[in-house]
Amino acid sequence: MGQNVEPVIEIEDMRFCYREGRYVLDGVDLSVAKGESVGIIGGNGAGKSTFLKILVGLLPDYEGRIRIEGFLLEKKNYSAIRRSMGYVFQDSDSQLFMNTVEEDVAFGPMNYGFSEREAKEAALRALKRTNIADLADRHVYRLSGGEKKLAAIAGILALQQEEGIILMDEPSASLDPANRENLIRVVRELKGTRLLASHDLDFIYDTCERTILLSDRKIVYDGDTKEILRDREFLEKNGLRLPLSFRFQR
Amino acid sequence: MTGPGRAIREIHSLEDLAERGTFLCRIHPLAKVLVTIWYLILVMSFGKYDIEGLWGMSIYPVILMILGDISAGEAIRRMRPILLMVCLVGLANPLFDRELLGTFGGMKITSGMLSMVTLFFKTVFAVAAAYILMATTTMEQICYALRKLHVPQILVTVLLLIYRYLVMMLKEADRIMQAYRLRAPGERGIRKDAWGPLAGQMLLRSMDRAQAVYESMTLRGFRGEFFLRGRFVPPRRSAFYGIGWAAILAVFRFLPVFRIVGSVFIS
Repeated sequence: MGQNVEPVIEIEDMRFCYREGRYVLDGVDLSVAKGESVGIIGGNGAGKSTFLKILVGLLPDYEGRIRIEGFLLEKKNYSAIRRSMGYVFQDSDSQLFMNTVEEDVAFGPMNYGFSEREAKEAALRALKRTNIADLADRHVYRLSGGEKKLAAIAGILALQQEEGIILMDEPSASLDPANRENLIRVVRELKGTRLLASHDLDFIYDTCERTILLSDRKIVYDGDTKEILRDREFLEKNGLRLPLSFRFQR
Repeated sequence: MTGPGRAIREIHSLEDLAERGTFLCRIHPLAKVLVTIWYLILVMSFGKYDIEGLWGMSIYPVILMILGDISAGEAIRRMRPILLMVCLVGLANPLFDRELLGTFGGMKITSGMLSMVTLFFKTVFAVAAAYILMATTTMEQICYALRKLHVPQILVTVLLLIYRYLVMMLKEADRIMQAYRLRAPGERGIRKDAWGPLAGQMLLRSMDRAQAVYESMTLRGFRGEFFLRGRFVPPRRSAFYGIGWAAILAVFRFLPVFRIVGSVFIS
C-alpha cells in the first residue's frame, strides 16, 4: 500500500459527530501515499461524504489528528492545504457558478494570485487534461451532466500541480455509459493522489487499486480492490452488493 | 414551462447578452457603473413637474440600446412588472394633487397628472439604465467595479451571493413545481394546503445548495475579492466613454437643450 512512498494524507484516531455523542466516524486511522488511487465505499450513511468533507476542512470540528502533505489540518493551514487538494462535489451544479467554463475553471487560480494570463493558461491546461478544451467558451448552464462533471474536475486541476490530491464524491453518479467511460479515462490519467467515494463498485474497480470500506463508523476493510470485490458475503454484510459484472465473471 | 423556469431562462439570456463582446460589453465595468450611477442621480434630481427637462435624459438609454444592439421591445417586456407597479403607485397622484395647470386638446391637465407622468418616466429611465448595465456587464464585473469604488467587501459579496442563490432558488422552485404538477394533473396552480410544505422544502433545499456553492467557492480560495478577466477596450477609451457621457448628461440636466434647439429652429 505504498509504504515506501511518503504519505500525503495521515489520519490518526479521527472521530466526528454532527450531534454531540452520536459519532458518524469513530477511530479512523488511514495513511495514503503519494500517487495512490483509493476508493472509499460503504452503504448509505456510512460517512463517505463526511470523511471527504473533513479532509478539505469543510467540517472543522473533528477529533484526532490529520496531516495533509505535512500540514496539520487546522484553520490556519487551510489555504496551503486547499492549494494542493481539491474536492469535486457530488452535484456539479454546486461547483460551477461562473458564466463560462473557462471563467469557472480559472476562478481558483485567480483567487490564488495568478495573473490573468497564468490563470487562463492553467485553465486551458486543466481543460485539456479533462478532454473538454473545446468547451472553454461554453456557458455553464448549457453543459450536459457529464460535461459538468469534467468541468468541475478541471476547476480543481487548474489550481494544482500535476501531483496534487483530488477528492471526488460520487463521481460517476448520473452519468451515461459514454460519459462514465470518459470519466474513468480522465481519472486514470491523473497523476496525483485520488480519493474517490462511490457506491459504484464497477467504477471503483476501474479506477482504484486500493479500497477502504466504511461501515459502522469505522474502516472495516483497507486493501486491494480486486480482493474485496471478490468477497460477496463481506460486502453484503456491510450493506453493499456485488456488481452484476463481477457475478458473471465468477 | 413553469414561472421559475421562465425566470431562469430570462436570467441566462441576460447573461448571454453581457457576454457578447460588443463594444459596450468591452468598456471597462468601472466606467459603466460610474456612468450609470451618475445617470441615476441626475434622473432622480429632476423636480416632480419637470417633465420637459426629464425628457432630455432619454438620450442615454436610446443611444446605448442602439450602440449595444439591445432590443427595446425585450427591455420593455422584461421591465413590465416594474412599470405596472409604478403605474399603480402613480395613479394616486391625480387624485390628491388636483391643481389645474392648463388644458391640452380640451382635456384639463392637473399637476397630479404631470407628476404621475414624471414619476413614470423617472422609473422607466432608471430601470432602463440598470437593465442596460446588466445587459452589457456581467455580475462579476459589476462586483469588481463596486470593490474598486470601495464599496465594503461584505456588501459586494452579499450582492454576488444573492444573485447566485436567486438562480438556485428558482431552480429548486422549478423542480418542486414540476414534481407537484406531475402528481397533481388537471389542477390549476398549487393547492393552498400545499403552499406551506412546498415553501419550506424550497427554502431548505435552496439553503443546502447555497451552502454547497459557498463551500465550493471557499475551497477554491475565494476570500471576497473579485478579479477582472477578459478583453476590454484600452483604459483611455473607457475613461473617454465615462467622461464623455458624464458631460453629455450634465448638459442635458442643467441646460434646457430641447428649448435651445427649438429656439434655433424657430429663429
